[in-house]
Amino acid sequence: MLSIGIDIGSTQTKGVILRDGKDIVKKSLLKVGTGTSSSKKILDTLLKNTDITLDDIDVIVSTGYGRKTFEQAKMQLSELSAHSLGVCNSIENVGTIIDIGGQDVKIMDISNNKLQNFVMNDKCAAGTGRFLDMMARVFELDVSELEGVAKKSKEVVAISSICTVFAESEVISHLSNGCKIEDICSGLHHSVAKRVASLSGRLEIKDNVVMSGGVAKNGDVVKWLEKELNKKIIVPKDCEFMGAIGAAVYGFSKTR
Amino acid sequence: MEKRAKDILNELMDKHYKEAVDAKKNNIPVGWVSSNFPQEFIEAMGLVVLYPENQTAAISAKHESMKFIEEAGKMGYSNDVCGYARVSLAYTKLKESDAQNMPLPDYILCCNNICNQLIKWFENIAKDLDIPMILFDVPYNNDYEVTESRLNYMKEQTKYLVSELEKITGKKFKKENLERVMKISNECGKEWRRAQEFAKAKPCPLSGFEMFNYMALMLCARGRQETVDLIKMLADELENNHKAGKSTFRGEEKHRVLMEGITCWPHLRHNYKTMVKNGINLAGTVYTDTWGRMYDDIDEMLISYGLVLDNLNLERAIKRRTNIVRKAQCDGAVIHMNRSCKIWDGFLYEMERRIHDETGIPTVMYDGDQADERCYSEAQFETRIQGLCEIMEQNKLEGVK
Amino acid sequence: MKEINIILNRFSYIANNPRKIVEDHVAKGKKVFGCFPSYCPEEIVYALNAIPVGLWGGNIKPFKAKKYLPSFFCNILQECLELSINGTYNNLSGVIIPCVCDSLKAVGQNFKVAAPHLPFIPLVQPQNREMDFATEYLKCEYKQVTEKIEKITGNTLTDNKMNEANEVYNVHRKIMREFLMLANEYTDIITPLYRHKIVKSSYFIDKKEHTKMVKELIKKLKTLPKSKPYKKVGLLGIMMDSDEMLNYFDELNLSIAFDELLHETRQFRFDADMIYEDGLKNLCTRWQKTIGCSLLYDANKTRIDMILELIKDNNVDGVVICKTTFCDPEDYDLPFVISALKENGIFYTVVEIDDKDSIEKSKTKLQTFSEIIE
Repeated sequence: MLSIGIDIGSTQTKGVILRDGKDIVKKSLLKVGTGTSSSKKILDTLLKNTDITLDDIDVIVSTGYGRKTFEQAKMQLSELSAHSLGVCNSIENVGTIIDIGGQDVKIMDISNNKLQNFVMNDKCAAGTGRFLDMMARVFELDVSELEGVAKKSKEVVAISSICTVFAESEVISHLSNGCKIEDICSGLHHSVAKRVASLSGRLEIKDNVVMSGGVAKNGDVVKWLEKELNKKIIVPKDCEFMGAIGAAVYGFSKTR
Repeated sequence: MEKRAKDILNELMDKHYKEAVDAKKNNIPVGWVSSNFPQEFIEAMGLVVLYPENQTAAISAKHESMKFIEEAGKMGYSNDVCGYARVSLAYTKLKESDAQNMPLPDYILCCNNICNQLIKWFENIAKDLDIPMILFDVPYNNDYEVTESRLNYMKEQTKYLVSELEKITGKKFKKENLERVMKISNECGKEWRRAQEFAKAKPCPLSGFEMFNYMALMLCARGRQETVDLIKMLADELENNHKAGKSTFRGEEKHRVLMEGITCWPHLRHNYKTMVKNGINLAGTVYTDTWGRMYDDIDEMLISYGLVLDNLNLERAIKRRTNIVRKAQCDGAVIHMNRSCKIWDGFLYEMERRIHDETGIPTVMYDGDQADERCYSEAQFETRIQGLCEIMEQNKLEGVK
Repeated sequence: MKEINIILNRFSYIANNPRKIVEDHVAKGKKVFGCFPSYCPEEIVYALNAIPVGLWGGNIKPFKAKKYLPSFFCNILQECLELSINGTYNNLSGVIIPCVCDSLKAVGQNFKVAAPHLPFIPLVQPQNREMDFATEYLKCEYKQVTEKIEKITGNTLTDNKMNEANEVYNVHRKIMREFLMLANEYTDIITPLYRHKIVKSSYFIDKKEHTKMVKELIKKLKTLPKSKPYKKVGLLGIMMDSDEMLNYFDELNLSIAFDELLHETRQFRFDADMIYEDGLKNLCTRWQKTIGCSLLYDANKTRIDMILELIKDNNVDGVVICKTTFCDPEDYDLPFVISALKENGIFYTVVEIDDKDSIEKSKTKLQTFSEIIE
């Protein structure tokens, strides 16, 4: 049985084809989010270069910010439930999931492979993927390059501003004061980790912390977050696909 | 070397905190009180009290506030809650500060003449620590004056206040003690006004920022003779400096400004350095001007507590500012959009327009916070101060006033 | 079924068209007075033969209000100020603005300057409510309000008229309490949206008229079979005024078993005692009794116990905290509310309704919430 999970986020669209709710047959990622042509494109991209056609697919489930606008989906699921299912599908005994997405930070409390409770950040963009995108632009870097740069840091520069506009001006003034990019960069990662950790007061972080979402690929953020939470963090191989995988798992379990 | 006012200031502040620590050791109840509470009753009853606003300002000025603000976030407080409140509420949990420690309270006294957030802040401490709270409710003045009904309401509350305090602390209230404290407090207010007068002189005998230092003592001990002596000493020093044409302000006082709003404690140094660099001195500060309280009887005293800065209606609030601008011959105004203080910010835009319209001086507004260091941008402040300077210079060239 | 829909639609029409309703009042020669949130003495307006209407903002993006208020003031008050400036409230003969929070104090002062065409009727209720001398003070404030309205309407307040108005309001509150209890059993018909519209409509018409309508609705409801129970939730906070969100509750099969919203239930909890000849003094007793509200001083935080009691009485599956951004009184209570919920094992989520983005996010949260309690 084949199920498709589509996760339409604010900045990216992810899709997976899953066989029997377990094995990934194909996965695709488009760098455009909700409100764009991505929802149509993602299915084409997923099926391209495979011998699978849409008729072979038993169920399509959407999740993410744009979940309700995806017409081909038979069901839709909130991204929190989807991330939980996705992570629990690939890792055992999960205690807490932290997902840093484009505009949201979510912390999910998991027991017995089930979502028990969750918290999300407030309106402010600090601590989200978007914050890092904006800061990468200041350095004229791609967001994927931030980790590599930050790893060279020897003397981290503290970034204190909470508002993105002020943080940007703080970064610029550090740059013009001759601070090294790598030190500022690591400081930014630290500030993101601090913002995320501040949510932990609202929901207990248990052992076996798993991080999902694109920002989890940034090892420097993960390192800072481990420090702030004083916990080891597991990053699954397909961390940015957890929502899509969860949606496909859900489709499988409901259709089976 | 002869002791100067600022040396004695530190000694008195240390003494104030030590008294509370000693009291706690001897099982004497210690109270926490809001800044503009009618302290005359407390002092008259010889109660040992501390002022959390002093502590939070000290913690913020010494760059320790973020530790508490982060803790408050974990406790579930939104970033939109007043920074002082967040620092203070987190302190009751962490109980440890390098900048300023103080014993936790056995009772809490709140006067909402500065704001209503204070009620919630103190309410939460009372609930958390399970201690009694007394609210001295001072209604906001929509009118220019304090209405008779408000005065009567406050008067009735003093009776309630005294009887509750007697119950909580076991101490007795004596009218003659109140009269004595009122006399001292008046004297203190008088000397403070005198010091403020010289601070407004042209050129200033001091850097305006120095007056902030004395506020903590005016707040917690204005009913004590030693404070009167100190403030008199300060006023004398300023008078002597003024007569000798000396000043503690570094460099040339090119411009004199009005500083509006609660101090941006976490970035006070940057504020100061930027202004000095531009030859700007604080000739008038709205914040410090509030402590020159004088009265002849209980009614007048209560009215003065009704007319605390943030309890004024728009017209009276504007008049306070324009009076300072004129008296201190300010060339411009620097206005703090203090993220913490809604009551102060609430009509600040209108106030800025009116200060400008009524006095003709240029104004500049900057973002900041009294405790949360994250709400400030050095670049923004520098640019705005520079802009203000350019206008003030141009005004001088053109002879505009 | 059809008949009940006619009644329900009438409520919705009123709630959705306050401007038109006010125009109708004015066309009939009635004077209308606006009441900012919250706890305005509507009874005084009513006793002076005028109509009080509740002003709680509207679906509008503040623009002119930004000249006066910094961005970190709540939407409700930003919108109220905007509507005062842009002429929407021009049919009102005056606006009462109380001072139960710091933002309201500032909004009142700005209102004077920003909307000089609307008579400003300020009011500051005492926070030390239960003492007799506080009532004396409150009565003086009410008298000031009375005098201002008397001058505008040309009518004079008598104890008789005041007590009649107190009675009309007591009866209305009683029927609203009864309705809100009953609505819980007819969640198929009284959907979250209708429930809200029925309450909201009471802000715009003569309370006698509203009482009549609600009575009729109750009568009709009682003839119908009770609904099958959905998942039941309670709403906490200031207000939940988004049609989109309320419909989403329905879509997710969540029914609202109780609310403790300032905009809704908190308005109906306490009646005026009718023990004095003095009508204003009777009205004061209502304020004296009011507890369980974030805006009113209470060192015991009775509100938390009241919330837990509501949860127990209504046997809900969880609660939704409707957070009004930049509402400091609520922000201070929130840690206590949440820890009480946690201690009692009650599932909750916090939603914020400010703009389109926050609605989307809130819908995600609500959906997850419903997926968990399923």
